[in-house]
Amino acid sequence: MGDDESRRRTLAEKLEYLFRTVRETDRREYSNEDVAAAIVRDQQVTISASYIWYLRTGQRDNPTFKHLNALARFFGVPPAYFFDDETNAQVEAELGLLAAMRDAGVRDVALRASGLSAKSLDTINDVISRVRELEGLPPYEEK
Amino acid sequence: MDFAALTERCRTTLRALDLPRPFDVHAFCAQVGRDRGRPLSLLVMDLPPDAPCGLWVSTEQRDYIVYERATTPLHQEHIILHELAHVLCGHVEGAGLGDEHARRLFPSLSPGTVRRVLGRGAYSSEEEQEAELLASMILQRAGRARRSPRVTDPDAADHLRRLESGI
Repeated sequence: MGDDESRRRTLAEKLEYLFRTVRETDRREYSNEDVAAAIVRDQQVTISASYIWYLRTGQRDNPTFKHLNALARFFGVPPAYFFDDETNAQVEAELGLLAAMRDAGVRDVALRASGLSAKSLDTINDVISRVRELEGLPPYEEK
Repeated sequence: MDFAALTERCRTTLRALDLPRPFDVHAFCAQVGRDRGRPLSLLVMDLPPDAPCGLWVSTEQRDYIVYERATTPLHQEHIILHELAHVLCGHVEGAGLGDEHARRLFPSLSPGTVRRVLGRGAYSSEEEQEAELLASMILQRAGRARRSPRVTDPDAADHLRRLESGI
């Protein structure tokens, strides 16, 4: 929605967010090498670990669509995450909730609504924080 | 499964239930938690209008039913019972976030990503309908329903669908 508090992210920040949130339970973040190797293997797209590092550190910010698409596929997000503000906000909200659930040890959330707005996802995030408190875990810090 | 078969299944589940008398949804939740050996807590929260008014959250050790504060006690009871019915129907046996739940919460993310982060198996569908039906039956047996739905009636199925999407 018209939420101006979320200023536009740079490509490096968007990529960094994916690395930080999309990782397996109890596992470290994917390394640039992991991601490059998986993209070459599964998508037959040529990309190097050092190029990914350049993108993550903002030293390159004009990748080809093919590379963005390959990175999006690896992390399981729509490619528009990288260039469309609305999609970016929605995906960020979904990933934030997913990470909060993982970190609070929440195994399942069942609800009746579908296609929730980023705002509703934030509400569910509040619910997860509350549960986290009740479970005696420290508050979730996103950054 | 057709609606008649679903109704029959809910009736069987209902017969096996020992409802507190007089009926009290909080006491009933506590009892279900004890029977399952997993504590079940009720959490009342202020949920904004565009958010769902009830949800179910499972952690390693326990379950939570979260329901809306700003509504009538009767509606709250129905919200809680709907979520509870998922347990009673065996929909939430601790396998984790199913594909259907994943699609609802995370429509933009690939199911593979959700599984990667949370590490999960799968669920079957029809669960919402079954949970809603059982919740109605419990309310009916507890003497709460305003009218008894004729569940073999196709209109009843429609009515339930509306309830399901409207609440």
